[in-house]
Amino acid sequence: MAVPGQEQPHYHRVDTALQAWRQGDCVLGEHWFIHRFNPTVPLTEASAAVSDQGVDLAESAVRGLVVLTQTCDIVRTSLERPFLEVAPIVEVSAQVAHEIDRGRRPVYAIIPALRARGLVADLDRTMTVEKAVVAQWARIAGCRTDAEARRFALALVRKRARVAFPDDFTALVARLQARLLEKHDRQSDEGRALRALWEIRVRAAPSWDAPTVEVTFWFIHEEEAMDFEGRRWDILLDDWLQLMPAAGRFRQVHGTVLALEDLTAKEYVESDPLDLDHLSTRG
Amino acid sequence: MSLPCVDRYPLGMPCSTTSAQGAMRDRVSHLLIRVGGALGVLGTTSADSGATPDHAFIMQAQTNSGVHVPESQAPSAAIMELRRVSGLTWDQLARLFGITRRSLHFWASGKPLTPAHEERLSRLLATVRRLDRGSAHANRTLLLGVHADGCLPFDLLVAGQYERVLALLGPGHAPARPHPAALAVDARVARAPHAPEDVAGSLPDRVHTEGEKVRVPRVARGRT
Repeated sequence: MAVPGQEQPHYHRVDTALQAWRQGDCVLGEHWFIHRFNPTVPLTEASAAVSDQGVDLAESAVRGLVVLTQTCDIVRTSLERPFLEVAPIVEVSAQVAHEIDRGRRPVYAIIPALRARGLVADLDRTMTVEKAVVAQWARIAGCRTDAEARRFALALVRKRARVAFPDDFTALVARLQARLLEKHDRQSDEGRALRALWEIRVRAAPSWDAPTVEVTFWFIHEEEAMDFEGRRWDILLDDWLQLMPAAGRFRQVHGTVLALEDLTAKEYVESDPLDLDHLSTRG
Repeated sequence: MSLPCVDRYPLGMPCSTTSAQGAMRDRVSHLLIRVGGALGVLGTTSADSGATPDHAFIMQAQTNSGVHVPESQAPSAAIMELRRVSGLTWDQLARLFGITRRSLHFWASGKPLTPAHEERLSRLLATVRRLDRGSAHANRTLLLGVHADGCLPFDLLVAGQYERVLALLGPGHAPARPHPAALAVDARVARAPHAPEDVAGSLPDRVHTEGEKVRVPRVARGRT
């Protein structure tokens, strides 16, 4: 079938309708999410429900859909960019929503305008639709401020761009991670100081997959925090490094506590945030 | 006089022999390094015509009575500035002090310096500030470049010959760095990473199901 040419007026109508849409905008109501599956091995309730009907696609009713495509691509002409990427909107409990807020559940993204209703984006599932589909939806602005739009975008980045640390590194930092997460360790200085940090970043030289690796941790604190509740950072640093003795490929383990403004752009670019899955839930 | 070349000079020697060591030891009691005022003096012709820059720095640091109001800087902050301005690696900076990289990391994290090391830090920072070309890369290249006599300014710094380094390289006249207005609180929050406690313990969720209705889609197959 021939694709309509640029002179066709419906391109213009679609483009005009899409001008108001932004990344994070959404639609509620009865909408359908489609995904492909292997009919001989259905892995989900949705695929199992239709796997005996000679198909390899399943459509599931969802509460709504949220647009993941960047705004600049949304508003570009549909002649050049006819597709949009959407994710289903799902309902979560207040507790889960709180954990999403904190960044503990990277599978989901908060949609600020729907946050109070417990409706969030399920980033595990995405679907491509043509813009003309979205053009007929009743738009709900998902993000109302630049800050909200940025947080939504960062959630998308984090879902796709988390660093896959080597298993032996994960083992190296297991005790530090445990110290961060220990619920029964709220009273220890080094544990509370770890949790009070702005960010922990880690650099591997010459690279993560080298035969021998030098690891450097950047423990970044708030700019004005000269110490932690009167305890010197270097003493805390010593405690933290003792949790990660050099082992295996990781022949040297260094660390420094510093303010964000003291980290050079080079060091920032050459390091990764210590973003790990909860080990206790593995396997 | 022969100039120092690579690995010819023992590390840390100049600091242990300076006459200002006692005064510097007194200063370490409050863990502050005063360098801004000293640099203000160093930047004037009157200072240049009199005492050597190093001496001027120390006098200024001791008396705290310059034309310019001196700034107070914790040793850890001074190390960070030395690192940013010089462009030297942590290993190279550690060599300037005759210590291990690990020790330098701990200094940068707030561990107190010995008076001798604190004095050396002050001198190094004052020197590097004066020769600053405005770029860490340019400064590092300058310090590690081989001069016609076969010596490296870096080695002269190791040997404590700060004046010789300044004479070789000359002042930098780096343009002042801009001081942009601070971000609004919500803008800063929006850019902030999640807390270490949360990103180091991300929960690997299972597939989200709500018992939704399922139907067989209408499909038209085609090739593109």
